[in-house]
Amino acid sequence: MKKWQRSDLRLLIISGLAVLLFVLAILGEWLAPYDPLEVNYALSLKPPDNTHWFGTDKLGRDILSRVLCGAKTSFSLTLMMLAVIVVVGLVIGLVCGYVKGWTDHIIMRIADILLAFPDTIFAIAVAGILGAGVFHTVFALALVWWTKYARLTRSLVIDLSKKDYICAARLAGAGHIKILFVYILPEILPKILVNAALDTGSMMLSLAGLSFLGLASQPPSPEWGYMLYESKQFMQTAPWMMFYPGCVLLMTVMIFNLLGDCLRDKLDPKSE
Amino acid sequence: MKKLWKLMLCFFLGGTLVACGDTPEERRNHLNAAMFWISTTLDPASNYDGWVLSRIGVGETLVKLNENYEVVPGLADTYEQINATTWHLHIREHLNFSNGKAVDGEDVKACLERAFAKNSRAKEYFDLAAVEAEGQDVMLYLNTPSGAVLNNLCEPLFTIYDASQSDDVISRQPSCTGPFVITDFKPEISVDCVANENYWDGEVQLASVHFVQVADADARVLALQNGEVDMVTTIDYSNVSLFSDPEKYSVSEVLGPRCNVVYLNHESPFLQDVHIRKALSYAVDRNSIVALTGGDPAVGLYSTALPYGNDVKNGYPLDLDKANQILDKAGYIDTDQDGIREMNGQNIVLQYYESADHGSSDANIIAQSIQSDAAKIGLSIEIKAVENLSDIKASGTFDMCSANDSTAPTGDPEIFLQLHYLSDASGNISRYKNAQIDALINELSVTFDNEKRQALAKTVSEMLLEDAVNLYVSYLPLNTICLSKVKGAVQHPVDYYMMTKDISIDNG
Repeated sequence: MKKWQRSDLRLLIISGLAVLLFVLAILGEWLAPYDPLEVNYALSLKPPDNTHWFGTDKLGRDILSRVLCGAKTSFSLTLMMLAVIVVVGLVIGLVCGYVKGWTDHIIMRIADILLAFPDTIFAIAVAGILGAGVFHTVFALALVWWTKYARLTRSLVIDLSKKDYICAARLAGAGHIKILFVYILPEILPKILVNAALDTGSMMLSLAGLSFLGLASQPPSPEWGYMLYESKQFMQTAPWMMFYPGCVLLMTVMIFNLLGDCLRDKLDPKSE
Repeated sequence: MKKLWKLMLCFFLGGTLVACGDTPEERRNHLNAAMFWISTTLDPASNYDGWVLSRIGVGETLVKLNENYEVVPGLADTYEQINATTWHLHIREHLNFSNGKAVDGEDVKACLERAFAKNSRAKEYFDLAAVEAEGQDVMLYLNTPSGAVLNNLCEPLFTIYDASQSDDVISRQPSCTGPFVITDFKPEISVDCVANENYWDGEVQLASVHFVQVADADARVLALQNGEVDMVTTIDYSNVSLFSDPEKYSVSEVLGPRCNVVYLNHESPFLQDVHIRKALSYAVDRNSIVALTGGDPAVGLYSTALPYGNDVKNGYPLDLDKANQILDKAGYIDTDQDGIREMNGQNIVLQYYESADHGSSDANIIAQSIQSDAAKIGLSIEIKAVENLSDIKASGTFDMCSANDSTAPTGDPEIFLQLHYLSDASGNISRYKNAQIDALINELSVTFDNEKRQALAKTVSEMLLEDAVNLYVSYLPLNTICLSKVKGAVQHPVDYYMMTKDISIDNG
């Protein structure tokens, strides 16, 4: 009982922090004290003070405002990518695991081929061919990452298909759609969600990494990874340019990783 | 007894290792230098690889440029113009390649012919008809007159080396005449050199040099700070202040002929209109950019460091009102109130490609500044950061693209105009065509009087400004930063000169 309460409290705190981050991301534009795009050369590379809490960057833009507005970009991109890969992976995994046969063989071999590419290198190659940009990069990462969810879903579906209650449902005349979405999906969804929560942090880091390389977010839109790239040249002369976006990225990724752990403990205690 | 044998073996091996290594004197006179680029070959006739060979103090040319961009004797001790198309050069007596072979006119002939056979850039410097060699005398015969032959012979493409070596050897370890000799070359990684004992111009102070490619400017800064290298070149202006302690470092900085230019594509539906080009030119806040990137605000094509770059009138000081007036007058109005002016109902959105030239982030600073400046006059710019701009420049699939160009690589104003502003030039990145400019550039080619040449260059430069052909943003400072123990490293305004015989290590 005591253990349950402790883990529950932990989940509550971490969820609260995650919700706070979401709220900040949504309200960032309104909370930002200055226009994150407004260039003011007179304020260039100003260290943190009362008027600019996080200091200013090379073009005199307020870093706090850029961090707040950048949260929206980072969160929306991550969630968009997560939604795409989870939905695509889930649907394909359900079909492969349930239908089996040639469909399963062909799709799984395609997944094997895509898994052979390291995701970041693949994203760099796609951005090289299609051109740098947020959607090209999200597309490239999604192209590799859906396979993980497809394979996980497929193995769970194959496992569940052998269960007696599924056979009973089939004998009782339940259709394929009903079996898949009423009897199988609710059983596997917690595992998929736990995985998605655990992946959020690494996806955010991957996107920030690609923005750092100049392949995802393009200037002047504020994005944490791109802000880190811009600060590289001033790492020693204006360290606040790197410190604040770096800290925020670190904390966000840490919160989502902890949230994933808590959700796993709660929803999928067997794998703890 | 066994132990005694082992001990003797240890002593023997230890002694062997000591014998194989450098002497303490050699170690003391060794320099490690970081460069932003080491080419894939060291063949002077290949691409711009001769520039690397020149920077590392291996390759030398018949004549060279001094700090005032004047031609001074190099491997040729005398030179004279016979007529409009004929030049005579005399090669120094008792001059040897690093492999000991004597240098004569035939070697010069072989190098020049090889340069023209292998590199299309050579023909753009001058139109060589024939080279004749007799002993130490060389005669150059041109098909068309050229007033810049001597300056252009300073280009490292015309490095003199032992051309009787095989192509393979020339690409890895060409025997040249400079103060250093290559001992090992790893393409795009490193070059190891030792002092040239046959050097014609006096004793070389350093025993050996290890050049390593550190492409990223920030990594070069860190390499110098942690003592991994003793000398770096071309670091960002924003980081020069890190080396202000004279006890630890020495900084040599000079304004060179390089210009940060933004090429405007004259085939772009928006930028083919001079009004938009002029408005953009008035909108660029050059002084604020220079406060971040260093150097001088650009007033035209040629750097103020050049003798003919000084008094070109500045056509485009920052004037947002004037820029807005030009666009209003031309009928480009923001009808849908989205902050972007329209041309024929279409938002004026320009694609700006930028690349980290010389591993520096300055191109990104300039791009973002211009993006913000252009937004103030209702022009939208989308920045695309790419690894390499060569293909984009060649294909013309851009509206704007960044460059860091040496506008007088040989000290003379003609070659840059020939390469980039003649209507049919291979390097006409802007796709700018102007018969009047073509005629002036051609006139420049056949003008021999230096004052007249400089006056013509100014005229062309001002005409280019009048037409707002490109955005000239700033003139770049060049720098060499060393640990304080390195003596004699002076930044030359011509950036293909770096290592000299006079650089030494003071172990104090």
